Amino acid sequence: MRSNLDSPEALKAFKMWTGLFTNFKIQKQADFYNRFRSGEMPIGVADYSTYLLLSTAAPELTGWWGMKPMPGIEQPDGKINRATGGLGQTGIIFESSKHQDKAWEFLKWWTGADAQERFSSELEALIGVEARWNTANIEALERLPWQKADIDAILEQWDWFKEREIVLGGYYTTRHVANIWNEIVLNGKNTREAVEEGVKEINKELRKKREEFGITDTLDNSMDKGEGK
Amino acid sequence: MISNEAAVVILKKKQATSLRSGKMSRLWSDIKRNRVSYLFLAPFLLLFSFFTIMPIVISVFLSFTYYNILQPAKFIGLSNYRLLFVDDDIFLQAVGITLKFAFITGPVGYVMAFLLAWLISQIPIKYRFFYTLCFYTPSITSAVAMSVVWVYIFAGDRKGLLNYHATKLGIIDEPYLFLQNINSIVPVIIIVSLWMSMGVGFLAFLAGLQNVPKDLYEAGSIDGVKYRWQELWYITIPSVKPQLLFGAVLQVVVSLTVFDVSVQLVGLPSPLYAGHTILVHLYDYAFIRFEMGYASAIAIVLFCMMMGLNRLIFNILGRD
Repeated sequence: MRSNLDSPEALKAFKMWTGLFTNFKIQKQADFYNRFRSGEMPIGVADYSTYLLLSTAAPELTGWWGMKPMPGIEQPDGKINRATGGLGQTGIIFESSKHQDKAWEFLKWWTGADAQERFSSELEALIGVEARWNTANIEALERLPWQKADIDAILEQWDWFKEREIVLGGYYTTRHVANIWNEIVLNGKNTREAVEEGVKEINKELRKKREEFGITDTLDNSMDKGEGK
Repeated sequence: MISNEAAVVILKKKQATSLRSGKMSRLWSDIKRNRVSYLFLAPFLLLFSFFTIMPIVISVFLSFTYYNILQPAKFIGLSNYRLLFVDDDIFLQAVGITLKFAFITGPVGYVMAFLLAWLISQIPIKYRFFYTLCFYTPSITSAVAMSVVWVYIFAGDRKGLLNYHATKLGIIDEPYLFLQNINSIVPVIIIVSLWMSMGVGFLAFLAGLQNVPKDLYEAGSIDGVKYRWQELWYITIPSVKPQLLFGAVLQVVVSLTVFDVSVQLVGLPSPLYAGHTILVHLYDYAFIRFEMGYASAIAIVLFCMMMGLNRLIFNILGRD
């Protein structure tokens, strides 16, 4: 298994991303929350914690702003590709566990709409909006008393949710994407060179971790050149 | 005298037993006789062995194994150490960064702590408390609270304190990313650590300086001391030597184990590993990759480095 970040598409994406900073001189770092409040940056791409921050710590803006699906690039068929990743959390049951059935029942209950809805509303009732629970259960999400427009935006974005494959040693990808950005934007390195060096490191870690857990590559050659899902 | 006689008696009684067991039984009878002293020692000894000696021993053991927390540890010999020194470029980089850091913050922080303590001890006792508090507070604030201040000062935002004023003065024309740029990461960590370095060592200096007998200075002035510097060099420093040793040992430990400051300021892992100290590397392996055996090996190397440096300091400052 190896990283597909050195494919022509990925390279193009890197060029575009870093080009925003090197060619178009976008602000490399900005405190979005404060700039948004002052009105300097009326629009931005931010994560859920910024949403919470703005809804709790910026009461003067209440009702003046909203959440929208991610911006994206128009595809040949006219659709806008809004694909973005999201944090993945999961529950697991060990093969060696003595209580597999019970664990399964528990997981079904905990991830079910009723429990998630109850947990979410009780949490919010106890601590307040800043503890708003962003459940991944769509059914529960639709029942929650959030603003309708926000939920609609989340649900629209939901169709574009596309997380990359979770693999052994996957933490190295995030790490080196940041490093590649740093090399290109701050140190002025050639894009291809920086990307290839980063990919080399990522591959090394992937190989190491797979060897550590005794996973052979022959089984999943189909995933070998995965599309970065 | 009595103890010797008792030992002789015991030795005579058990002539058949070997010399070794004779020594052991003598030790045992010594212990029995001094049991009250051992009782007094016990609380510290127990805590020290459980929370310091045992972790070290376990860590040494784990460093020879492959251990990922879930599965039982598997003995793999020196493999971890071989990987560490031969194959791990980032570890070597981390050692370099840590040493660079330690060789600057160590001595500078140490000298600064001493000089400031000396200066403070010159002012009237009424105001001394206030100054002490001012210098000591940074070292007890948590790294999180510290980062709130310093991240704002070094923010890469156009409106970060340093960037804003530098732009206004025309020194730079676009914001400099202090916490992202590999050239500025180590200096920033050093500056913040120096700011935080007036810790326990500083307090020890202060206490030591206040306990230097006044008559020494009087004797000095009779013997022809003219300047404050002479007083400092010939009387004060020799009198506070124990505190100097204590401070130096602490300083070594503090400057080799820099972690919080780096993580809070530049993140974990830092951009291009520019702020990657040994302890950050250890954390990376222990709690991101869960290779506890390897992390233990790193800990052992760090432990040996500290022991070595402390021996060096004892050799320089400890002899009388």
